[in-house]
Amino acid sequence: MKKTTWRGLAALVAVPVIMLAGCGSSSSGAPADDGTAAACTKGEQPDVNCDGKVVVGVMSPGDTNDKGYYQGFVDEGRAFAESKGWSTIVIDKINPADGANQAKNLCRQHADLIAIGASELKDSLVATSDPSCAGVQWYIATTAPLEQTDAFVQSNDFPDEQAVAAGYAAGLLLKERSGTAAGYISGPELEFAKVGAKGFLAGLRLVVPDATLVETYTGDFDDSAKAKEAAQTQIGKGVQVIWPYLGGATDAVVSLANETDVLTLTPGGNRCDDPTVKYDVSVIYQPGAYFAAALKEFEQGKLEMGTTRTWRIGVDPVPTVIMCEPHTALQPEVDKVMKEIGDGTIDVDAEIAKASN
Amino acid sequence: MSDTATRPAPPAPPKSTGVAVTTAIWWRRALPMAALYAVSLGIALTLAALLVMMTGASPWSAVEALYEGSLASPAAIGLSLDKAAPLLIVALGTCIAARAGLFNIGQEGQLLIGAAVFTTIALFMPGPGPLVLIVALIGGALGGAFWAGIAAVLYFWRGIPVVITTLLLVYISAQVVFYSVSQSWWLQEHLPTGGVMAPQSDLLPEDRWLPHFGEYPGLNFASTIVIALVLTVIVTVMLRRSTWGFRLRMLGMNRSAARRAGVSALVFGGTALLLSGAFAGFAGAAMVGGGNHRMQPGISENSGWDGLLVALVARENPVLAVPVAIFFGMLRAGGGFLASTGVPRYIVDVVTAILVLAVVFPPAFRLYQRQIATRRQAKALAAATSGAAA
Repeated sequence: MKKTTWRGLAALVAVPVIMLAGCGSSSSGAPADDGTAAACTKGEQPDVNCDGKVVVGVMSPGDTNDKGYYQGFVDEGRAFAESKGWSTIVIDKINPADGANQAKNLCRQHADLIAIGASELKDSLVATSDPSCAGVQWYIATTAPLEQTDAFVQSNDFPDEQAVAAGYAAGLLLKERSGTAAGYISGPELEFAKVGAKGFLAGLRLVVPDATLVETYTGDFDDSAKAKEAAQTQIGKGVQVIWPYLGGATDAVVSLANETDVLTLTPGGNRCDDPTVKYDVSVIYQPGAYFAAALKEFEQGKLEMGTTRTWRIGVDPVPTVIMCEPHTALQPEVDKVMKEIGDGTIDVDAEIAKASN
Repeated sequence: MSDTATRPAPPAPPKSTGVAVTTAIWWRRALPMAALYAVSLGIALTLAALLVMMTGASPWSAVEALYEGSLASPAAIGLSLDKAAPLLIVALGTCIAARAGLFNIGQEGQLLIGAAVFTTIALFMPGPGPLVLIVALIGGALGGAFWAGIAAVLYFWRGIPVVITTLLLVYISAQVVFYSVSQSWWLQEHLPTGGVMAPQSDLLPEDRWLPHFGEYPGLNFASTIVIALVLTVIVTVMLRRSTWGFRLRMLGMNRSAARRAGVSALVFGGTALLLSGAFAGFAGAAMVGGGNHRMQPGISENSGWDGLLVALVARENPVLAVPVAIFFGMLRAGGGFLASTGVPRYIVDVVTAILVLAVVFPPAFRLYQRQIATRRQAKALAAATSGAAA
């Protein structure tokens, strides 16, 4: 090889090495020594490991930029943590099969609290007994109650109740338009997605007894093209309201619905004032709100491991359903139904069974 | 009197000169390759550093995290080995098919089917744990073989290219596996507490797990890597030293010559493809039995695709596949740890993909160079022949 070629090769190898060395910092993960650690008692929230800083690790199976469920979980928690000067480490798109490893990795980053964003990652809780995670506090948001142990605190809610309330709100909109057909678009045909559809139909029929629901499962919560195609088909079939029970593909459906004057509901967050797309109903079951409440208790040193907090529609501030402009006049009716669901006047299971038959 | 008899015999070259010449030739071949790797990795590291810097993190911390997650402690080494094991097993199967001249690229699907069959047997078969485990592992391998067998049948019966069928079968397998974990009569988990069920199987009983060596924080790993290394020895010996391996190579090099020599493409090619699928299926089974202990649709984590890459980088050499698989395993383990330092997951994925590309590029480039050289030689020969004819 010619001399010039060798020189070129050497330079190509040397440049990145020098660049990497120049940007060097060898303090990753090392406990801070700013004097605060001395006044700390190990195990006391929020600086559980007494390293002088509070680190909240967040694990999510989905995309935390989906403008939906997963992003909602992270955003509210992160906002609270940052307002307290804590640092957050978010790992998203975690394969459930790799959850335990990722949890252990967060422990090695000296996390004080690890929050797991969905029950798909429940296997990550095996890390609670791992020596590298000794003393770490754990929080998990689930849609199905997990067998409670002393190692973690869980929050859960009832997706079927929320779906019935959402269906009721959509039913009111259908009635206004004298329509009977509504649409429901979700990703993979998973149990919780099917539960959502059943509850939605039951809620619709509380207002419009002969309502029909067109269900489409695209196989992917984030595939905008497939979701848009599904919405196009449903609109072609005459649906007046669509509930996109999706992740990253939600806005694609809603923008098409906006163009064709079809009404929409949010899949989990309050987006009544969204400047990009227009929603008619905000169905709020943000696990981020539950997480923020848990973080508040964590800050006060009151987050008790081994406990379960259940959030119920019509009882707690969240989950809830909010009618957006120009449908706010319907809010009292929705509030009444949510209250009846919360106090058991409306038997959700019976309504779902009736609608499914 | 013959010419040779009258001439004095030329002096035999000293032995040390022969060795020196061989070493020089080896260096002349190895050095450019090493330089190519250095350049390729250098560029990849630069790009990776730039990407990490764009997120506000320090590239050096990223390198540290990659090291910390893969090599810095005995536990990290164990994790790298756990990640490398299925890749190596998949790569071994790929080597077998490639030797027979068949390019199976459906390992991802075969792995998933193997994992599903393993889980089904391990959950439903009654009997003592170790026996069920062995039967389930064999079942997993057979599941993978069956999935590759579909491609084999289509190829030998209708001539449909293996590349196409194996690839398309990956998508079907993903749906089959998703269906299996969404059906309560099949693999979907049963929750004692009721409520919404996730698309995954129940946890396997502990006596149906593959043995695990060591304890955290010391070196600890599943026995899968040991099995993978044993399989490497077996595959290497079979390919290099057995008649079967010789016939397989013959088939891969020249199908017509192999046929004339009595080597049946159907028997040897078909067996190679089935074995390739069996190895991928076995890798899937070992992933459930050795790591997750329950079936989940995303269990593969692209191990099928990465195993294929391992084989390609190792140039279908089972022995070379060992360090390559370990390197890939290190990248996987280190990448996971890097994500926990706050570097966004998508950047981690891009960084690891760039590093993989950097490793894949040199052999591909050399192959391209050789093809160009061969074409030039052929052209020169053709020109010389036509010139002589004129």
